[in-house]
Amino acid sequence: MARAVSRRRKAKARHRHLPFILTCIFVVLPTANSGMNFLHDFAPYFIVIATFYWALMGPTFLPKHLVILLGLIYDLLHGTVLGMHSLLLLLTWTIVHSQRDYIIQQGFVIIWAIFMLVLSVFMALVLSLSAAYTKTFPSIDAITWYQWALTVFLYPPIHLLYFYLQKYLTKI
Amino acid sequence: MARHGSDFTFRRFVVIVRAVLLRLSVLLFAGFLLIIAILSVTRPDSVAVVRTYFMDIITPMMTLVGKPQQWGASISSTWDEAIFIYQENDRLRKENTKVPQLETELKDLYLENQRLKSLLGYVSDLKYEYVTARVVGNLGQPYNREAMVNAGELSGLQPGLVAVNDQGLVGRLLEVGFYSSRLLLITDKDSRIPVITENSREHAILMGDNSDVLRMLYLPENTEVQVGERVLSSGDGGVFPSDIPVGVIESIEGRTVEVRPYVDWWRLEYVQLVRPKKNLTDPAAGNVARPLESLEMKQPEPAAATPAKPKPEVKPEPKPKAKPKPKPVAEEAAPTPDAAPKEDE
Repeated sequence: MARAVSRRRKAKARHRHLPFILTCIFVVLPTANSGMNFLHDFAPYFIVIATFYWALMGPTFLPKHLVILLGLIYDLLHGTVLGMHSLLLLLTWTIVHSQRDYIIQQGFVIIWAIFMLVLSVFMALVLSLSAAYTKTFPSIDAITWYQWALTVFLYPPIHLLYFYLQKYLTKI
Repeated sequence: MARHGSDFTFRRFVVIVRAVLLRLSVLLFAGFLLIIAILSVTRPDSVAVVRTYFMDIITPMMTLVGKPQQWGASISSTWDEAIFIYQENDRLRKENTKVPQLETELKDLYLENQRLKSLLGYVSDLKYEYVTARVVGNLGQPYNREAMVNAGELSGLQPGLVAVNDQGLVGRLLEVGFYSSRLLLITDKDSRIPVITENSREHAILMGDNSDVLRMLYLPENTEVQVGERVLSSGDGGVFPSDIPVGVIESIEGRTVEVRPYVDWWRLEYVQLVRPKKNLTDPAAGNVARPLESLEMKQPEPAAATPAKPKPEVKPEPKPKAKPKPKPVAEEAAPTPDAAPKEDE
């Protein structure tokens, strides 16, 4: 009996990082050279989707330190200021987590709308900080709009995927 | 009893500290990240080291992740090729009939070129060699235009080297790891290239702005550039070699001149990194040189040009008439290291 419990605990610990690993794959996948490089310009913000979902639905599966690590990986990969995305993701995680009790009671459409709002603020902050770093005026071009729209439209399927992953993780 | 009391106090202390740390964890993490961000801005070199190590780790993963996508893309291109295979075969057969004639012409022209060069005492200015690398990651996003290639310090690369492909100028190396490098594309907002227009010979600076077109800066007021004119690298400043095709002028509106790069960013798979030759007399130096480069014959300089230090011949010209002045045998047998920089001048 004790062995079975221990085995189950070990399995749970092993699978605990699945959301993080899956999100890492989502971050790396669009940057790999596929011979269809036009896809990279419109790569959605998977890290924001992951941070929003897990801060809301299962904070223990993607805690703060893993969110920071995710942001650092993103910054190292994309050549942006190291720590910028981590800081903004941490802010997103903290705010969403603090309002968790209220948001979680809402229907999916409201949650989606809140995600839209969170993403807009997140992208505006990234744009402003990047512009401040390069000492230029922040400008929103077509690609930024495509990226925003794609992230918003990809939220429902990714939400569903994470939902089933969470269901599986809580079962084991 | 007293021991139990002290245990209780210690436990309580630990619980309180843990609770405080948990409450402050966000602030602690944020502070830590802020320090990293400030360090990244003020001391980019220290962060670049971390970035290059990360690149070396992630490059094999990116190569692996990109494989299925590449297979998918190659299957679709193979399918397209299979549809038009008969037409393509027919076209190639027709073209093939012209090949022997073209080959003869090429040989004649090559020999003529060599003869004229020897008459002029021409010294070859081929002072670069090429390292071919595969683009494993395209890090393009709205805020920058960068790519990752699978060659680094071990291939003899260093930051600042220029990347080209068969279409034209691609960019230059920003950070170099052991096995991988980060490439700043010419469309990035931080990219500046000194250029010259092919026909009107106007010098300008080509600037990227993260879009697909480039803008020309510092053109004179009464400029004569025209739409459709080719833009080449001028070689000013010594960072970019001269005469590399960059793009074509797409539009002129007042003083705003837009240039469309030749490189097809959507299908960027391989790049050639241009590095200066270390020693032209050393055959091992040009390890990844282009085939034409090996055909190039180094001609002797006229004796009057270098009276103090006669330049040793790499391959002596067989025709005695072409030689302006016969050189001592000892000089030919033992070339001095001064010969290599001479070629680069």
